[in-house]
Amino acid sequence: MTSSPPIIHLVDDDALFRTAIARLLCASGYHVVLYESADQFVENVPSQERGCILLDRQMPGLSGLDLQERLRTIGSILPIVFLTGHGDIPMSVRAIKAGAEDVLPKPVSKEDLLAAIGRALALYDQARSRTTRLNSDKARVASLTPRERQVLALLVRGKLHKQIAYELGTAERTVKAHRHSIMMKLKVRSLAEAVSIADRLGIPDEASSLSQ
Amino acid sequence: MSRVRYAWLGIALLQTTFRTPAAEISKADLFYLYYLDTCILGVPRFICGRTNAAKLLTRTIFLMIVGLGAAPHALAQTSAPSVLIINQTDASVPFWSNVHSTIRSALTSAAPGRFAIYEEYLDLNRFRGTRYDEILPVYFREKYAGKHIDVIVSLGSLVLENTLRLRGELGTETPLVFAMTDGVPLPTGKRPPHTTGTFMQFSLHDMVTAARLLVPELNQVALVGDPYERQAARRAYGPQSKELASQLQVVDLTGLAVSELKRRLAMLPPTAAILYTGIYTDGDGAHYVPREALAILAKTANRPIVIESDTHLGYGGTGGFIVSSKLVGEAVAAQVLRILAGESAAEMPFVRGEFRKPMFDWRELSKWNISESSLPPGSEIRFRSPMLLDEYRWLLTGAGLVLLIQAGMISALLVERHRRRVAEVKSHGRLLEVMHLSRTAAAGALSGSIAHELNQPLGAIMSNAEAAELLLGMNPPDIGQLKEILADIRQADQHAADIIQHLRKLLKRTTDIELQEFDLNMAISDALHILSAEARKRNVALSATGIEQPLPVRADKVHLLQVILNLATNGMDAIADALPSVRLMTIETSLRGQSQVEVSISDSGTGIPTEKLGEVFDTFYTTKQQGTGLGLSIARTIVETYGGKIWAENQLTGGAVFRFTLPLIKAHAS
Repeated sequence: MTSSPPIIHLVDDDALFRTAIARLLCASGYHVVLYESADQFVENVPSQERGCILLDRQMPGLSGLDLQERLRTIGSILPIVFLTGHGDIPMSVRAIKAGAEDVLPKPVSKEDLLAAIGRALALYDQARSRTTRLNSDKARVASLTPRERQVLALLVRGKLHKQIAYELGTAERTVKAHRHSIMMKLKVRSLAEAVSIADRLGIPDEASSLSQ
Repeated sequence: MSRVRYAWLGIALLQTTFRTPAAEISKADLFYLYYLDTCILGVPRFICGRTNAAKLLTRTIFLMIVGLGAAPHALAQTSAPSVLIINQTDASVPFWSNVHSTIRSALTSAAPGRFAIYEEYLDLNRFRGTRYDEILPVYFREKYAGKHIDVIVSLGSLVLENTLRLRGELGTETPLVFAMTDGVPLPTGKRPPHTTGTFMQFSLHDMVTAARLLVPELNQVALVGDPYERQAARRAYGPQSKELASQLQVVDLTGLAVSELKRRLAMLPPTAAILYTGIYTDGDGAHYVPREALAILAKTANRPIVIESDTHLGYGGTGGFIVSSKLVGEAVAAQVLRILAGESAAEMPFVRGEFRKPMFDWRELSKWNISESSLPPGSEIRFRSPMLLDEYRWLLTGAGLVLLIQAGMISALLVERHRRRVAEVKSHGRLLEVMHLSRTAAAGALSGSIAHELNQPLGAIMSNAEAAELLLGMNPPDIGQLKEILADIRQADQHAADIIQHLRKLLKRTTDIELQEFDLNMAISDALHILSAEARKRNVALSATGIEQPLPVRADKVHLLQVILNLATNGMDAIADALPSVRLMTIETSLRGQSQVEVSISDSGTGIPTEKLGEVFDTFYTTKQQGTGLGLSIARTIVETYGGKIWAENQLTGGAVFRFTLPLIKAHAS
């Protein structure tokens, strides 16, 4: 992942500006993919490889903000850096609220641009690692039997073995065996760790709904 | 009324009483008077209207008046006052005929139709001698036997003597009035009975004084006329000329023949003047009327001629202290009337009559170049060629007034015109100012998007430059890419310059309309350039369609640019609330006939309420919060300035369309 250069997706309708930025980023060691319009970008939504999106706010057709909205809904984790003309505060606020990493006024200096891209990539890395962990948690939880899941849910809610056994109508010993199996499957050493994983995956909610 | 009539009658009767012997009143006269009284004046009516005593008194007075007086009617028939005028010359001398006619008219105007005037011309200049003296009394006696003469008038110096003698033949009691005499013939120390009159002495000195007025540097006088001893009134001139010789060179030409005189008078030095008294008979024995002789001489004379008689004025005499025949005649007539009125001639004193007056002939003054200012005050200038001003005084005054009024009106109109022009120029300037302000405002409104537009090429330039720096740091540098970068930089720079150029066009300040021929499509394309950024910012799809061939119009390009911008930004405002997908704006050109082009700018907004379609171009009409209401009004002004029309419509598909037409310079070949 770190071996190949990050991919910068540049969306701008102004060809001169587009190529100029592309040249700068290439020379700075990035891989750049160019799009003439937001629509073109939407049609070719890129893989979530490491990188970020540089987006001109004002474009004919789908605007930068519209595109941002669209990407969020499809769960893209590529951070967006907006490029804008003169200081347009309402637009900037909207963009930041909607999760934009940065809003850069044009013309932008190399330092500002690269710094913003650096921050965006850091954000990408964070997001990426978060998703990776979540995915492994999900896989481990998936390996639990339904009975073990039930037991985990009750454990997360802080029930005692005795109470769990009573609720599930089994013996306390059986609950203890389940708990051991869960710990093994989730590869955790303490109950707190197991609770943390369950919390990330929203299992306590599952459990409460189940109990009701 | 009747009282007034009585007074009149009384006065008339009293007047006649003093003139007619009472014995001559006949009974017929009395009857006539009574008849007059009864029929015309109504005296009896007046009398009957009173008491008996009053009647009696009035009638008595009336009859007394009648008894004392005589009817004018009767008087005229029997004894008109008669005047005999005896003159020393013949009737052909104009001076004397003037005197006579003045006397006649003065007498007859005092009492019209009543005078009997007899005139005798003794012609003493030509008839003299004892024989003549013997015949005359006989002639008079026989001629005037049975004629009553009331007053004798003697005119002239020579005749006075004769008249005094002849009076004996006509009745020594007859009053005598003399005039135009120096008084020499009168017996010294003894005044003839029943005689009065005026003396008048001519003087050569006075003539010289007059000559000095005409010729200030006078040092020679030429004496022209009959020999002075033959001129009774100028008997003193001979001795006087000798006195003058001490001061002046006196050239005595008296008694010469007219032909000789003509020659001599043409050779006088410039400091000379001619003193003319009168030629009756010249050296050759030819007879002349004096003024005709003067006229002949004046033709050749090279110096001004001083004269003494008003009848010589107008015959070549320049002027002088001149005897007025009118004044003489009037003086005589006045004395005659006084005597007839009952005054005693013997009691009327002899007086020195001043009948002379400085008089000059304007034409002669001009001829000799003599200024009127050198003449004595009160001088009478005759024959002044009537100046236009004198002749047509009222006409000229009227015409002058009309001209003056006209001139006044014209100047007032000119002033008004000037003021209007100034105002027009001012208002024109203001209009251009407002147009400029409106353009500035438009540019201001578009400035945000234009700034963004400008940032594109600027950003490109900056990034390209930085990329180039990075490339230069590599080893080896990618020369091909550097070249591309430089080309791109130039292109971006050009783009930025274009944007600024367009903006400057819009902001150009004009002091006057710059008429130019250009393709309307160019103006539309310029407008699209300026608008494109704004359209993008507002998410409006802006397009232009229509005629692609050149559309030549004559106008100031920036004004048409302004019209299109005004209409387009107006349209963009109108569709601000529409959904982004239907924000459409189209600029379209089409031909109307062969000579006009129509530009329509349509939007997909909500349109204009039908009842407001006519008002949108009114000044200060606006529906926007920040609108000035000037944009469309200015657009209309501009379009109309260039001979076009502008109007607004609603499209059937929704939205408004603004159209304007402009005349094409030459019919467009479609």
